Amino acid sequence: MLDLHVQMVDININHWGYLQSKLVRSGREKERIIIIHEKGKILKFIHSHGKSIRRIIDKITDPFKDAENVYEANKDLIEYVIIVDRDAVNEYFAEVQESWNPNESIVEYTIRMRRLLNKYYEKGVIVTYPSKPTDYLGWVPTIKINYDAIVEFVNTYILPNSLVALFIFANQKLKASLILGFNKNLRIDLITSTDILRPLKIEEHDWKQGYKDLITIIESKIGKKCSIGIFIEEEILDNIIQKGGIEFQRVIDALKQDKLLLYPITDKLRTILSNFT
Amino acid sequence: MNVFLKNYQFCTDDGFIPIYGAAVHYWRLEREKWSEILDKVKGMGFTAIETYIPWEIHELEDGRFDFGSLDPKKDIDTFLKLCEEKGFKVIVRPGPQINSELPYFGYPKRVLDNPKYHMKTSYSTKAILNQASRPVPALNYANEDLYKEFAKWYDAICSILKKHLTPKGCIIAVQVDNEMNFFFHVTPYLVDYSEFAIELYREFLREKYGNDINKLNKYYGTNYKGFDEVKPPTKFNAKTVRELRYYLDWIEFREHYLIKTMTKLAKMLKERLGNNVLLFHNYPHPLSPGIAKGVTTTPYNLIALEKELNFVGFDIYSRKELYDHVKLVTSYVVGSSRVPFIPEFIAGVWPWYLRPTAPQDEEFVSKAAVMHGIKGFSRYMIVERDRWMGSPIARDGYIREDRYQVHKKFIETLRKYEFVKFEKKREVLILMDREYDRLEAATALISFPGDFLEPLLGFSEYPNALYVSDDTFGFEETVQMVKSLWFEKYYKVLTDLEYTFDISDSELDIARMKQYKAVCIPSFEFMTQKLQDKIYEVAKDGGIVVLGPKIPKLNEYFEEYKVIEDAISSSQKVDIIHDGRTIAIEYKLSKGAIALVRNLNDMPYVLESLFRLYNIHKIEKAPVAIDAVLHINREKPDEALLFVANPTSQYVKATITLPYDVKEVVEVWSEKKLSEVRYELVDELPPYNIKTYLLLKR
Repeated sequence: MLDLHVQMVDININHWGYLQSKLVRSGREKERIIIIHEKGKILKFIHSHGKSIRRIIDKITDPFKDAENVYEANKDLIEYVIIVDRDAVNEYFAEVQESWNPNESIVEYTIRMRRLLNKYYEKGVIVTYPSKPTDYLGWVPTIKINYDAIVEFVNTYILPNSLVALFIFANQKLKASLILGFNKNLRIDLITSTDILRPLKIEEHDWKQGYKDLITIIESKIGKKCSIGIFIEEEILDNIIQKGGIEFQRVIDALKQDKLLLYPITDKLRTILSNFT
Repeated sequence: MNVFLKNYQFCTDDGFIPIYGAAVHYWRLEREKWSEILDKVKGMGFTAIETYIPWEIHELEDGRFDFGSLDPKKDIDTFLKLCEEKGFKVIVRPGPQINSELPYFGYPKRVLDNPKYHMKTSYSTKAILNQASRPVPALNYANEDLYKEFAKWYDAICSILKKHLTPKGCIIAVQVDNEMNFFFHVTPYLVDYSEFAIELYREFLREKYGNDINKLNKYYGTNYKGFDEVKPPTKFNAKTVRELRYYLDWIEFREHYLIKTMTKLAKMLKERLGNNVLLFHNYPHPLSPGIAKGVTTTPYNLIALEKELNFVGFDIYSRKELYDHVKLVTSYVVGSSRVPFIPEFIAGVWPWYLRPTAPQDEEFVSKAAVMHGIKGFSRYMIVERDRWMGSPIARDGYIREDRYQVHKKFIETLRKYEFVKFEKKREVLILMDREYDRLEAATALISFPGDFLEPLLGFSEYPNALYVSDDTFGFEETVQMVKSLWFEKYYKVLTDLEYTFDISDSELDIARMKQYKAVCIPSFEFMTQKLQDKIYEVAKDGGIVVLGPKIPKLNEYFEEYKVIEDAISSSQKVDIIHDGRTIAIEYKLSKGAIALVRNLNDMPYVLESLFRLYNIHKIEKAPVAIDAVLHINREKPDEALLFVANPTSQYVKATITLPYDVKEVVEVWSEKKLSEVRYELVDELPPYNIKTYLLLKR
């Protein structure tokens, strides 16, 4: 979905940092127990942050059960347990790297890497507990949306050679913006923010007074029409995103109450939403 | 004007010169904006412009380049002329590797994607670095054919650069390649297992063992008939001391690989630019931002690489919470390099930097680096561009006022108070035997590829306690893990006890070791033979060497070697006593001494007792959470800069005992004069703040 030559320009660092905090969390910052074994023989059994732990097993017999038991015995100290078979790590990364395709972006590569990780989980050689590895390892999206669903949404509701723009407000003022440009193949070829509108000081305006003008200015500046513009208050966003997912009914409620504005909106998306609003 | 290195500084015949560089990527800016943007950079006080020169961008097809005839943004010759006209010195970085967040890492696609140039992993696959916008295969720098490609690029670009070299032109230094660390595949058993790299490995072994396979067999416990039979390790499997050398050699070879390949590129540049050009290299930010702990040496060997290039530095991209990381890295560069220079110093970040920095981070980290002795740097990126955010100047010349003012004020102050003339006063060195670091790397239980987002399994690329073997191999301690505890303890105790120090490793030459009154070294049952010799020499000639927890009795081949043991056995012994208990022994040699601390927890008392006895420079300060360093003006010894850092998230009221009676004190960043200060300075420091006081002796 990402063009290899995507431009990432005029990104407002504060907006970007805010979006990172909302959308991504780092697996390695979390406290965890790490167990590395070789054919069941434990070579490493350690807490990620050096805390003393209850070492209730001395070999790996059933990685899933062992992970659960270690977690239950130490859950006051950790967020998760990871048990890896030493040789499986090599096999996993060999398979990942051999699958590299020079025409693929980081998005496709990373998605495949993560999906493969879950296969190694199913084989019992890279195991995490309480949940599967992709819930803990690497950059973990805070909103659990299937990548294929995102691609399908883009292909269905976004027009080629167009923009999608997101604006988040707090106390009526702009908190974050993200503007994505899509090329004719619906691949993202531009990632930017309202910084592209300099010297317009967008933060100083009440967005509900001028959101249509904002879209017009962005379209003019970038030279592409906007498929979807999303305008939302921070508290509404937090209300919609619940337990790692998007509460669809709350989206509908926010639309009905004009707390979430979609402008412009493609015909297909308007049609589908009208069934609910 | 000739620019050269002398007394750890950039110099001209007129004396020290400040090299405060700013990265500006000409090809990413509209040509008509160049002049305006350079003027704005000049307005911030920068003295130098730094730029990559991307092969990827200039090559149209194999052997054909565009240097502005087709795309005016690519006119590097004119860009350099413009820099010259505006009075800038220039640092160029022509690669071939430049990364620069480009999809092909700086190489033409035809080179990067050509399988014959790819590294091989231990499981015979390509080695892929996950980076945006496109994951890239690691190139095999052991392959001679690759240098034929590099030569085409160097021929083309050097013909332009040559016209702009000092003394006639603006270019004062040229970087050789960029952040070369196996394309961030740092874990030891991932790369490079290509036939070319394996041949280089065997050459390394031949050289190391004097082409005597029996010598190698003796240390490996093997029966090879020739070096061609030796296969590199692909997984750590040693159980005993006797088996370790094989793995340690592989780790040492990986350092050699990086030095050998950078030396080869440096030679190619010298052939094209002449021998007078200053060549340097930058190692990447040693640990991923946010995961900083301990000092990392292998696979980097800064001091060994400086035997081939003029200088080598580490890049720094830290948030304010990582004060200790900045102190550690800068203290290492100051203690080890020929010139303490940061080739890439944070000014904005790449978009996949998690939790990007605020101007306050950059201000704090900048002051911290200078506080610990950095003398020059290049701000990366002072002008924003594609795939970079948070720079003081946007790509259209728009000024981001908050960030612009932070950097402007910083440079203006460095220049106004002539920081380059001041020297950090320190008399202590913490030194790490590289062989312990190599052991840490060698005992890594797993390997995994580099990943710019985050290594997927959550481990640092640099092997550490989380995934190295727990085996002792017959030693009393798990050296590969305990060595970090000892290093960190030295670091913390010296900081808490108010002693200023540098950091280095066993590659450091003895003359430089002797510049310190005291050297603190973690030591275990084995230690590199050369380091043991240096320790003996330093102590014999008047230095104080603190060792612990063991006096080494073996060398790096795990053969008996007891130069220190022999020296101390016949020396006068003095017990260091605390609370009625002997906590260490000081062994007096002819002029100096060796002290042995056996217990980590005794270290504060031992160091305090010894260093007081030998009158080691310290700065008395309170509370313990703050840090303080004194710099003395080399030309006017009655002038000093006192740095006081508050690296905590709380306000502190700092009290510092001054080194002498002062007649005037000015806090240089605020230019506020402090009145009625004589022997003691009391001031409030906000969270994550560094104040610097100019002290004039009464």
